[in-house]
Amino acid sequence: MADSFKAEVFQNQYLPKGADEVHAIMTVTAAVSDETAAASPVNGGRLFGIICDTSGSMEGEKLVAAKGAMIQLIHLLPEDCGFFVVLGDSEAHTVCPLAIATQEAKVRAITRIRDVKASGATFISKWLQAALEQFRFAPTALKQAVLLTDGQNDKNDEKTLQFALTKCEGMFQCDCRGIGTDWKVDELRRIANTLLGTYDIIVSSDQIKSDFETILGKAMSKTAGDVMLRLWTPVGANILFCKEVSPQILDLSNRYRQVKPQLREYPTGAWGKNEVRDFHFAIKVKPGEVGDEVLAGRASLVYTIDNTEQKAAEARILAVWTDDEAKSAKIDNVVAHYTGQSELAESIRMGLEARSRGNVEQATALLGKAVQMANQTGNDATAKLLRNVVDVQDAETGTVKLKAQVAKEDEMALDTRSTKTTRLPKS
Amino acid sequence: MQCSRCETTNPEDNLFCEGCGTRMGDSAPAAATADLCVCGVPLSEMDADGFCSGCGRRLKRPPEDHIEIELLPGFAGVSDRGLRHSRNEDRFALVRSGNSYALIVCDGVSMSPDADQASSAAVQSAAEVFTKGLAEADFVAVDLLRESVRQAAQAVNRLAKQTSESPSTTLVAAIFNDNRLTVGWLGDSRAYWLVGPDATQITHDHSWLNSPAAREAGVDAAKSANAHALMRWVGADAPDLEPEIAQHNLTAEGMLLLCSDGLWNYAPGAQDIAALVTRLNTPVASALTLSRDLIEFARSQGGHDNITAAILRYPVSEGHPNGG
Repeated sequence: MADSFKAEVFQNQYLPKGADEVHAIMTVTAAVSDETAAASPVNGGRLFGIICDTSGSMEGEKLVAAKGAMIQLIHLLPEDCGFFVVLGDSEAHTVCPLAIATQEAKVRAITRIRDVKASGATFISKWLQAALEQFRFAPTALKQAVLLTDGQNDKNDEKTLQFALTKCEGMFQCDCRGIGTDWKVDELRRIANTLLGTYDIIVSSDQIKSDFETILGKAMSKTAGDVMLRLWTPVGANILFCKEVSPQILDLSNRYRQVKPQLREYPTGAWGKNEVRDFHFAIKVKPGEVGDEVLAGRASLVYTIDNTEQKAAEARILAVWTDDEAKSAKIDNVVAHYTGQSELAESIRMGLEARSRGNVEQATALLGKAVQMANQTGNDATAKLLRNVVDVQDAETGTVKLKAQVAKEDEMALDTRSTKTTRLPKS
Repeated sequence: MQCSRCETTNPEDNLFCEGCGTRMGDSAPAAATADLCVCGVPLSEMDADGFCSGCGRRLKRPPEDHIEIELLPGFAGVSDRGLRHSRNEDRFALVRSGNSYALIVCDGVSMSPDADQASSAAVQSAAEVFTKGLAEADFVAVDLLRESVRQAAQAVNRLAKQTSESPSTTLVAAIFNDNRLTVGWLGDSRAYWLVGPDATQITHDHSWLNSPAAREAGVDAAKSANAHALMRWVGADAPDLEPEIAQHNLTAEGMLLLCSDGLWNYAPGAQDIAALVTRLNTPVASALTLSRDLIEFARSQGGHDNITAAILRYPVSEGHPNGG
């Protein structure tokens, strides 16, 4: 399994005299060797949790669609996988406690799901706690879940939700989906980011089924769970940030565990075969003299197999001080690309915020800049979402006008998907 | 690095202490503080790549930083990182088979990625061609040179991941056989033939300065920022791979010097090289000593680039050049 991950570093290691900031992108690929492919996927097995909103607002079409999607998902579960179902309103109802996905267990779960009626409020903290209780039965398993909701969390549950998230962090991963437009993007983003999952909007009920199918497919492809990104830095260095930047932007900077004084570990969750992710590090080091060479960081992935720690994909981040401006002035293509993608996401987030505050001028400037950047970096998916919110007069210069009428789902789609990045095409 | 005599802290590159002038490095007896990095972390905690586990400073340089090869007292070479580059991207090789000799010097193009791998791969492939070729009876030196460039180019091409940024290197190679010297080159690494106090530059640089465009630009061409831009090289994106070839019949005792621009930048004209070698070669020194002194000269001038010098004294004798 030593070759299970491969890493490549992109950076311009040359710094001008006096400079102290080192930027690098590390591309990590979960390789498929025959050995890995043949190996049993996970030591402790897999668990998949289904967490679904059944509060009063789900009544009708949404609940019918959600039930249909859950039932299909259960049918699709591999028979060696453990699963459970938590239905949530003001309380959590573990209608199907943890069981192996045998035919009988599936039938039993499906019968219970069919009987459920929508009622009550939205207390997501309780749903998460109930899920956590189930996951605790199998501490060594690869633990993943999906959470579907259609509404904003109850105001009285705000603090408890934060507490529940702290408890769940690192215990399981959870993809979050919001159906309709009555839920809060920021709230779902916070839950998904903490639980290292994706988040997205499902505009119409008939899309839940296919979306759940994709989520389950991805979850079942994971072969290594609880993979940590370990970063060594020299004494006196300061990690300015550590972000996953592809496939989506996820700031991990404050998510570290300090292993030793110079060693931090950031969670990256589970990895599937052939999965590729990019990470962006910014490290502040003590400036050196011209000709000095310093190891500014050493990154690797660590995970545990049979109680043995495995380390893979080691990569070096260097800093070399030079008086050759031609060398130090060059910005690495990949670093530049992801710096741009982060700026793009930030412009959209701030632009939408300004728009909702009614600051037309600021919103126009920010969203215009976003259009320009999406155009320059070939992020067509984001460019398309932006066009639902602004009228583009000139994409090249970023000249836009805010649309007078914007569908709520378009705005939310832009907000939720703005952190999805493109990779640089291989040239 | 701390001086063992006066305890002055010196930059890692220093060969001599800035405080008292004592030679630094291997020959210096280990001082009590020599077991610690400047940051105070014991050297024993250095990581496998030679970096300090405390401050990250590079403590151990890769062996390619300084390469010395001596096949005979009159046949040797030295390659050195210099003072300003983070690694040595120059490589060289010496080959001997019977009474035939070959020398190769490659200077990785530092604006290309993995320049060190390019020069390394090129030198290795060319040396393999020479090792095999020189051993064959009736080999044709010109053919062997062309073949060595072809093989070198193939090895360098294999390194290229994308054609827009291909690892590249210069190449100069020389073969001595049957009282004849054959030199082939691509780029601006040079070959000089020195007889007594005189030097002839056999190669002419494939740089913009020597191109028709520069001749049109007139007298100011040498001042142009492009002056030393390479026009030909070995790499996947090279315009062509046909080495320029020069041949000389050898009638007098002499010395061949192959070098990278890290040396000749500090002695640009043939007469500058001649004067330099004459000075360093008094009294007559072995090829290795002379190569070392040439490297040291370039370092004393600033050592801005990697420096390589490879020397063969003709006629080749097994003994020491001054008869010792």
